[in-house]
Amino acid sequence: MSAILQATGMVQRYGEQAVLANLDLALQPGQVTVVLGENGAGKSTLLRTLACELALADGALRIADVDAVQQPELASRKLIHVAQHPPLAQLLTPLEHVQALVAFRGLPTEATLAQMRTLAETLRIDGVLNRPVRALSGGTAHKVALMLAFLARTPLILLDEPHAGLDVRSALALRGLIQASRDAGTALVLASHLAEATLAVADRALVLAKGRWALDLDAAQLAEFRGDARQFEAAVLRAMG
Amino acid sequence: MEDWPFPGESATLPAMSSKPTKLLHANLIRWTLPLVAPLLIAVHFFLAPALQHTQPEQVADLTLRLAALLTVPLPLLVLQLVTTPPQLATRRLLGETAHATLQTSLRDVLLWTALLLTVPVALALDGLWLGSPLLLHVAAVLAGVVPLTAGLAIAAMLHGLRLLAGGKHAGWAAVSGGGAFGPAESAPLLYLPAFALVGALAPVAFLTAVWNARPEWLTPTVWRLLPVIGMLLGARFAAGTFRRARPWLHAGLRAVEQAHASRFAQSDGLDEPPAWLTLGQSTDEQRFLARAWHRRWPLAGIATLALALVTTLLVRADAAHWALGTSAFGFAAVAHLRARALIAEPAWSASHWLGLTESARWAVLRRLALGLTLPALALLALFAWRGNGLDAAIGLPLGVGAAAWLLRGRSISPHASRIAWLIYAAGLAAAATGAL
Repeated sequence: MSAILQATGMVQRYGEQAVLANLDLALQPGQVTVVLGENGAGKSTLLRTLACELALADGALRIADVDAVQQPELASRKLIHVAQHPPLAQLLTPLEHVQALVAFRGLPTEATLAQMRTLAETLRIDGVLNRPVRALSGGTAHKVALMLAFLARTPLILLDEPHAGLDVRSALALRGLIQASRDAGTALVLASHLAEATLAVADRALVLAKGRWALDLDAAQLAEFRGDARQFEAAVLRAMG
Repeated sequence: MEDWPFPGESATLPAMSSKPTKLLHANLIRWTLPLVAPLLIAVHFFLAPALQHTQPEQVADLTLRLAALLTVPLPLLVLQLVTTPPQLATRRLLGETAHATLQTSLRDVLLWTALLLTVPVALALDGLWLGSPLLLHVAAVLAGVVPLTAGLAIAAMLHGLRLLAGGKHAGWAAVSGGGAFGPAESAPLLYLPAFALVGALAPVAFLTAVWNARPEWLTPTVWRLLPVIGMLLGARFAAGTFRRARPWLHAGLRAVEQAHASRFAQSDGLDEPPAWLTLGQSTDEQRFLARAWHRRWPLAGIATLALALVTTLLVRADAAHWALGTSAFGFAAVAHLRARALIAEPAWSASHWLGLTESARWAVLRRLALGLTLPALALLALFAWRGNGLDAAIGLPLGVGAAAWLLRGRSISPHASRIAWLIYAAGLAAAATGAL
């Protein structure tokens, strides 16, 4: 199976400081990859780079067979990136966002609206679909952004701290949505500093420290930790240094 | 005290004033006032001798130009200052209430209004000194300019307040009082322009009476001193007006804060953009951005229509050419605000996130901005055609500046707006030089 994202020798700098130092990454369809690391380790920078929001300082990046270095605009349409503060239009409603998503990405209207109803009920935001985003709480707005990401039907979804601001029920709902999306063949990348919360859904876990991969655990290795999240956290902490 | 964790850095913090938010009151208005006032007085003393050798009509024309150029941009400037979210948000984060922020801003507006109007008033007095038969004309224009400025500035103030006070989006009815001037509690502020009118015309009326009765009293020295005295009286008048208006403003601010207090406060109805905004086009991209823009700037349509009406009337009446320039500037400024609002509006970045391509976004912006740019450019062309060399000197740089501002935009190049401002300043300088 060909990788949906293939990155080789990725380098990203802020001034003289190297945030990503010669990173390789391959993402397979139907795989959930969790990127863990301390605050400031470069997780968000990595996601912004993968989303073509930041140009690579060096290295190669292909997304869905598109050269993201040469054609970032085209490559960025193959994915959706939910940042920690997603850029929602504050004076428009979630429903109007969905309408725009359908129009801008050429999605089927009826099927998308039907899926929106299901997702909105799952995330318990069906009562606020006609309210301006500005009137929503931070957690609710975050759930709106997550709903839009799952509606976009891109082969790759990048979620930055997806559990931030979510209550327990919503976090469980999100887990179900991630699993369903993976089962449908979507590749997902979750950047988080919460090791335990992401263990349940991860097929692969990477720890980013000092711009390099400090730990790379595959599905079989992660399965050994599922009975003991503390051991997993300890392994992650050791990798962080 | 705990050990400072960063080696080589001092643990001592810089001393802060008793009101740290003052540090963030970085709008230049308050800091430049003490500098600008003496400067204006000095400029007047240079201008007065030069004006002695100038034709009365030219003096009147210059008076009108300066009045228009100084007063029309003021409300727009106020609106931009008040609705600059980062500054306001930071000040609120540090504990300053919306109340205090807007109160400070209102005081700034009144001070600026009084200060800026000193220039045309002083020049009008000079025109009087020269025995210009256009005195009544000047007075009439001032009578229009003063309430227009004060009214628009207050409206801009309350509009900004409506949008931002409390940081939430409250219902229109709760904060507008059914009109465009803010909450019902602030309704008496509607009389503020009338106070400003009286304040500006009373000295002129008084001087006219003295001139008629005892012209020998008005020696050249007296004429030179009059603007200084007028400025002092104007400042006192502005302070008195603010004292009178403060309770009404406070009541209005309280009403707005209460309306914004609920997190789930929301608009009474989520308006759709008017058809003219999308120039008859109705693509999804245009609807999305136009809708966001319209909800952010609900009064912009009225302002544009008012500008168009005034311009049409002035052109039809074959009035002085300065009116065309003023209107053109108004159009350009509104168009700039429109483009800037679109880019600053989160909907701009949201549209990209939702899948709209970069080229499509800019195509939509160009099309939306074109709705105001074209009339502005047409006006400028008319301005240059109907006017003299001086009009062209103003119109050309104004047009180039406005077009540069619109087409490049602050988000593309931060230097573009600076260049546009420089061109505009050069236009003003050319106008002043040409007039003298």
